[in-house]
Amino acid sequence: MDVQAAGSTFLKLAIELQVKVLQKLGLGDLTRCTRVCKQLRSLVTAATALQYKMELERAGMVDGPAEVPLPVKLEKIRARNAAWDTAFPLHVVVQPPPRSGFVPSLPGGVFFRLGTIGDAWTLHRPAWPEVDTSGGLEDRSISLTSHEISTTGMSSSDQSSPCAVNPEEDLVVFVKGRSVPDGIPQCVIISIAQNKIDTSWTSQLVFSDLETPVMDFVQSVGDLLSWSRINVFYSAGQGELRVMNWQTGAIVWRSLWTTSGRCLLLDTSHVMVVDHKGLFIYEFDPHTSASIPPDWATEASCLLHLEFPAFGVPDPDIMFLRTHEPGARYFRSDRPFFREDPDITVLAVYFNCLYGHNMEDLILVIPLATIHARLSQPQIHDQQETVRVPWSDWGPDGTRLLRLARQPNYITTWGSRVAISLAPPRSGLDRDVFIVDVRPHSRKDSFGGGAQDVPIAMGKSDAPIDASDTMSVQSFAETVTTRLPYRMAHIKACLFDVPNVIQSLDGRLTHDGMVFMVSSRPG
Amino acid sequence: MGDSNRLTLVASDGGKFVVDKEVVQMSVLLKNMIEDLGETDESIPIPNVTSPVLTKVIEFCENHRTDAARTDGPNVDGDDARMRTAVVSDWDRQFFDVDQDLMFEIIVAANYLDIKSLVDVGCKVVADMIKGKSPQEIRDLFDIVNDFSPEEEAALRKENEWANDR
Repeated sequence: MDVQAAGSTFLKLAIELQVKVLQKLGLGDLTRCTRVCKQLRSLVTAATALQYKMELERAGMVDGPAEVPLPVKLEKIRARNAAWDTAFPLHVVVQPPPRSGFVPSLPGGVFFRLGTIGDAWTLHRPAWPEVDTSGGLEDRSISLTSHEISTTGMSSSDQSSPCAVNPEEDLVVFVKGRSVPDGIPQCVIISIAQNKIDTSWTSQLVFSDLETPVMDFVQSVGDLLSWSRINVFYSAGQGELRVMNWQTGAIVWRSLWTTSGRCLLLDTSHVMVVDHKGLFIYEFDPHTSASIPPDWATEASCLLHLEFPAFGVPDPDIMFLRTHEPGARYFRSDRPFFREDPDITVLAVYFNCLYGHNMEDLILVIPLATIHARLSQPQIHDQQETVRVPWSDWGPDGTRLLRLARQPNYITTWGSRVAISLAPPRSGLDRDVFIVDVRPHSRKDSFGGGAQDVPIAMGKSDAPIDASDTMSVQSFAETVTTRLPYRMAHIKACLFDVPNVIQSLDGRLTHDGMVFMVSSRPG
Repeated sequence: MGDSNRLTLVASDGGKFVVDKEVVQMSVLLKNMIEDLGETDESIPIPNVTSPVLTKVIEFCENHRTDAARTDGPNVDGDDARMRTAVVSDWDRQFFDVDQDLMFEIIVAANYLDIKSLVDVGCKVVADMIKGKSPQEIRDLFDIVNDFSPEEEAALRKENEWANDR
């Protein structure tokens, strides 16, 4: 006889209705429900829909569009979560090692450079898993031969660098440096639809010529392209920032920024400049005519300024600042089973600065939801003047500030995660890769790494980097002024026992997890 | 001859309710029944639903008659997004501010009559009651007996520590 039958009206509801109620709950509440009584426990653990929902939330993903039976999706998401939990590879893709060491990796794809034979690039990009595939990481590569490169308007791959990929539109963007014969920096956009290069169509955008040395950061989303051409030395120089429509060639937004801040597209009508003073958000009209370029945007003309903590560091002591753009936003329709939840996407900003007598390496992990929440407040658009938001008032999702023990080799972001690859403290082959995940319900103690749950509180906007305010963590990174929860996982990468061949080993996040890039010494 | 735009529903206890056809059509079950019957003066018996519950169900349908068209829209994606983000409106919250037995009876009746929006709101209200509660608080809420042994309970607590359990 069922001990529950007499009492609870909830448990007397039809199973179908109980499931409907439980489907409105998140991971944490559902987990607690499994501890209420045996009947509820077996209901939650047996209902495929609930299990799928829990596994999705654990992975930081949302359901995809494909009409695939739920048990199939559940099996795939479980395999994926198990791979994350154990750091056991879901797929191993072996590629011939690149002949030269330079291996740029971009959100949405990975590039290997083959330098020694001809002027060729090989693009390795993750395949969008089709319904009949595993749904895991599958690698497809495209070679851009010198012939194809010349037909696309680039004289040589030596002076050109791949800068961005746009998986939605199947595009690769190259920037032609100023050292090429005609001396005009250009963006060359190449279509890679159907997994091959479409030489019948390219688009080129010409940029103004800044003093060298410069670095180009390009981001391509939909019809728009943000192009930051900035000084290598952060505090030394001005940068020129643009948002362009590559279909029409129109400049829809532009600025001559006083420091080497970078611009990033937030959506189809907002762009944000990231520099050491914070995030400066501007509205633009994507339909601006090609013949009338917009006014130059300045610090004072922005819509919204989200201020970074001052740290008490003067401008000249900021040595280096890099913005690592979020990757998950690009995948909206490509992923049939499930895809990264765009609501939890983060942006990472890395600082290297002189603080007192020490060099500090800091990373800000900023959820895009925090920015969007601020931007959607109606008063932002009503005000004539810039709305300034101090660091202590960013909002409930806030941002995390971490201090690194040493300089990172590589930082990548994907979804709610930031992967930070650190060089070994002494010469050695081990590479520490730390994954910081800022989701509120992230699971502790995965990967055998330590995880920190810290009370929620915000630091003051002028808070210095103060040892008394740090958490004592037995790891590379410590929270400094922001005590918001995050999860940290640690992967010790010493997977390869051929020490004399390996030159570098970096862990990077791609759409489907962690990818280890191994480069060998030439010869 | 009655008003052709209105019809009579009869609850299980014999209570009679004269309602606009438009309102009744929010119930997929009744909508199909009316279509099958054609023009008729006969009242429709609802054998599974009592008068107090039917009063509430009709109250809900009359309040939501104007948004019926919106929720029946063909856009699955939009519907999905709405389901995900929608919060229970103040009116709906007050509507469900009744004792638990009546609340569940309304949900069961709505499910029987196939009134999607009412089932959805009802389930959301119940889910909101569960949100953030500890297992013991959920037991107290729904009058559920804890049938785990102390050992089983300890094991479950350990297994789920990461979910910030209390």
